Amino acid sequence: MSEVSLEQLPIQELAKIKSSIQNEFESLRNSLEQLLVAQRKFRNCIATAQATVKEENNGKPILVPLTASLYVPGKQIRSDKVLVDIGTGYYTEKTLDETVKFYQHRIDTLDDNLKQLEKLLNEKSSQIQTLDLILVKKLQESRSK
Amino acid sequence: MASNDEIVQLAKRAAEKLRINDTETNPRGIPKAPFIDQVEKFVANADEAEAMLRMLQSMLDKYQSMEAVTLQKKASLNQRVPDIKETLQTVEFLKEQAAKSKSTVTTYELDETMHAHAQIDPTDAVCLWLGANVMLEYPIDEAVELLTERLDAANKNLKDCDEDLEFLREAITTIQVNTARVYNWDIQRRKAEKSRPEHEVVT
Repeated sequence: MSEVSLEQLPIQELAKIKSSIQNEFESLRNSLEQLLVAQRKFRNCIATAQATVKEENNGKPILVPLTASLYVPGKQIRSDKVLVDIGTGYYTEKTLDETVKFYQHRIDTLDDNLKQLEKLLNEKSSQIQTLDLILVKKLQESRSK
Repeated sequence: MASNDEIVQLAKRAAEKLRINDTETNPRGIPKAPFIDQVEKFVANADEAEAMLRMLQSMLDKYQSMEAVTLQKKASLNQRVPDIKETLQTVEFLKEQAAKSKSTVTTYELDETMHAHAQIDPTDAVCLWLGANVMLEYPIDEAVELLTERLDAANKNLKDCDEDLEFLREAITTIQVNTARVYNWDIQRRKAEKSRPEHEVVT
């Protein structure tokens, strides 16, 4: 998209392009927020795992949540391992180290995605700014005619 | 539901106009929408037509907002029923296990996407989350009883919701038909007025 061709476009066209870029911008920002939420969840998981997955917790009495509204007294067993959702409905048993590594890897992957998204967002916002400038100029021209 | 009373008032007024003596209601006290049979019987002039249209519109608003509330209630019940069912089944399973003096090994959600192992020894009491930050411990039999009651109540509520929705839809249609009829009558009256000679126009 060269600026020369943009300058030649009528105001309505420019406004249309601007609103479509703005839509893209909004949806990108939504994905960014979702990624941030996901990242926060994974961080929480690491913290929970570190607090729970240890030998000394074995046999400790807990209230086991069986459904959303049912809690039953029970005890923690095999507290050296947890089941981690590795996607598409599969769970694997992992030790604390493996669990932390797993979630850290996910967080890092998300970090990469976030960086790419931020770059895209910056591009879009500078495109919007350029369009705004041209639009203002065009409007002034049409008014002075 | 405050809007219920308002509808009752409006329906009464409309009923008076329509010379209906008693307003029927459905089992939940939602008044039935009166059907305007012969428009000319109770709308005599432009003012009355306008007043009637306004009244119909406000009745329509009330019925529609009640429909929205009922739909919401139904959605939340539809969510709650499976949860109650699941909880009831689980409690019954625990009861069987306790009767056999068997321990149960299970996993529970420790955090999103993460589960941990737990063992439940035969137990005669379970804790039910009652909502509003209250959890109570119940003997298993009482829990079964409570959950069964709740399930029945929820199912009955769901049935009532469906009935109400049907009733409300019918009422909304009736009101809409009424509105169209009064509106068309008013247009015809205006036309007739126009075609009449000047000195005969009296309203």
